Amino acid sequence: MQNVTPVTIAELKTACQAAKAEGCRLVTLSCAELDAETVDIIYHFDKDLSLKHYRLTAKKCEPVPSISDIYFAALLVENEIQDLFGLSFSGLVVDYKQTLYLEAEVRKTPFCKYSVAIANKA
Amino acid sequence: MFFMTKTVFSNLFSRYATRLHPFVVREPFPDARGELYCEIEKCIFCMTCQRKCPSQCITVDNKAGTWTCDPMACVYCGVCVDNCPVACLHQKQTYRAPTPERLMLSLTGTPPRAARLAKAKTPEAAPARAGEPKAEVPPVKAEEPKAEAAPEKGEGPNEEAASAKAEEPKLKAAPAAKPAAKPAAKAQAKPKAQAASKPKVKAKGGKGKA
Amino acid sequence: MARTIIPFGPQHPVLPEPLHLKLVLEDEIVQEALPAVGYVHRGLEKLTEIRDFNQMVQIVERVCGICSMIHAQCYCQGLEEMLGITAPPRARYLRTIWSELHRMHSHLLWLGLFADGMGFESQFMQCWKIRERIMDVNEATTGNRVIVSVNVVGGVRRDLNDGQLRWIGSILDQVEAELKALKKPLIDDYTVKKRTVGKGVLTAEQVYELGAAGPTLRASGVAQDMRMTRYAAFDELVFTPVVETEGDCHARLKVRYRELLASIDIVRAAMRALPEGELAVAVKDKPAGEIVTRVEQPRGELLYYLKASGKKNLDRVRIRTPTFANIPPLLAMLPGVELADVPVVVLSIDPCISCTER
Repeated sequence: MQNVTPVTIAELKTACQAAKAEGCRLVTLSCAELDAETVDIIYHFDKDLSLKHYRLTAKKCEPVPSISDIYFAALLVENEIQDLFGLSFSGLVVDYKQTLYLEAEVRKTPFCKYSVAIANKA
Repeated sequence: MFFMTKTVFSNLFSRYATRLHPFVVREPFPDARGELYCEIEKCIFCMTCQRKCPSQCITVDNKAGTWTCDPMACVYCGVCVDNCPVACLHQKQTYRAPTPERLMLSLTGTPPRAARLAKAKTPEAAPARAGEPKAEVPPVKAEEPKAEAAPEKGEGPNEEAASAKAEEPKLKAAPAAKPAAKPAAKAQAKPKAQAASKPKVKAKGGKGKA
Repeated sequence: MARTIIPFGPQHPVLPEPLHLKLVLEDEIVQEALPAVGYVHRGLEKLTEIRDFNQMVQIVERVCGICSMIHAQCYCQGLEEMLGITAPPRARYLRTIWSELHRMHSHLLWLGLFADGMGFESQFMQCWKIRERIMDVNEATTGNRVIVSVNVVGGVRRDLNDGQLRWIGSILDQVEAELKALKKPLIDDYTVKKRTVGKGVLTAEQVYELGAAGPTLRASGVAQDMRMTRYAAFDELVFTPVVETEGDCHARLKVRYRELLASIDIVRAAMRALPEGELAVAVKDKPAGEIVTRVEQPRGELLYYLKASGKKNLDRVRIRTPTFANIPPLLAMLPGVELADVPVVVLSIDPCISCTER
């Protein structure tokens, strides 16, 4: 995987705004668990068929700022990550509150054991 | 929809595009991947199929010498067939017929270890008789659809013979398998050697006699 | 001017799969649409924890029933890149042939469903009749009709001999003739135009910003097709993306119809240029690293993010399917559309919900 830029939570929104100004299309977000406390969120952007990625290493217990106000397309995938990883995104345009795939009474997320979103839900 | 009229009329006056299915059945394609079956007397219980199966529908017990497949979990991918080192797994060209009951395909053979032990005990065992030790034990009785679903010429007879012999319930089969294992020892050794090179044809010849 | 909320789906006559939309209507006009998915979420990505990377080939095929071959192709390409091996040329060509055949049967399926969504039953039958020929090709050459299971990490599992190639060629001739006969009643027809022209319009800027993929993107005039990234045999084959500019349902219909004809040409070219040689290379190592691969599915761009750390099982398989990307554009298309046109607009993105939810 080439073209990976690490970003921090504070830089994330400005980086995404810059990408949008550049004319990048948001392809998707990928999330992968690193260890008990952190996850990797990778933002994939496409411009003229070449990809670039922003890697955000986020703590599971901290809410991640949502980019769905910049890229509306991020709405579904951020909700999906909330469901599958139990992360929490702040400022989502439409927040399904972990009921996109899961049922409201579900307390466990498939990919992560514990997170703040789950704690909030309970 | 005006432009469609021509097509509609030509369809009206031409032959059916479909078949009257249960009465007219298309010949299966020669390379089609259909129902899985196992020539248990060639099986060496190496458990490769169990490890490779993506749906994990095959269970092999190399101590007891059982090869069990859950045909309803099988996804017809043919990975086990490709990976079988002795080519004892095959696929028919047609799918398993639908059945109202859950069925399990369970075959019992002689694992090579047991075969070796048995051979050591009785060096000149009885004349080889392939197919003796196998017993197919469906936990739920569902034998009929299998017998029906063997229309192709190639591998059919094998499978039918296997199921025909399989009327023994499991509890009985287990003690019965012990004495039977001895004569089978020879039988196991021979087709196995051939199996590596040209499995299907040879084995079938042997089977016909049995 | 009463506001009404109408639930559309999950069980709806025109929907082949369960997608639920909450439509906020004012009189007959949709003001807002909110999707609800989650009816067919199967957790296939999670399965990588208990299935090894070779078994995952068969699992990712089951993400989508219609474009199974292309999912496996994308996954295998990613792993090959990670392992530092390349599939032999013949395997890459065979993958191209089968994936284009998949695209054709998927588009024909969609053409049928779309016609059915408009109430054009006889066209639906006609499309599916043509599709059946391609399904026969799939079954005869790969062994299975839909989930063909020909890919393996490092190459392909089946070969095509000369007789089969000739036979496929003759089938393609038939399909092409039948497709050309389809053009007038399907594309140029007055009623079809009445139902599709000007419905669900998105401009190129909108569609790009909303992250659309595939025919939805190309129908608005953005020439983006992952086959332009020259994966598999596309580095040697001539390929030009099919683009329409109107951005409405009729343009999406035209894009798919023209892609069908383009796919026939690609298959023919690939069969002519099919090189001799090995079918697969052996895989010795365990994969390690991170990879993003993309291929073009019938519905658009498919992205796989694979992460491995030298173990038998991959750490993460993340699948971004094109319909997932096409739902935000769908939400932008719906406002302003009449309720009676909602099925047509929804079908025009070719929704594949099993893909979306995995």
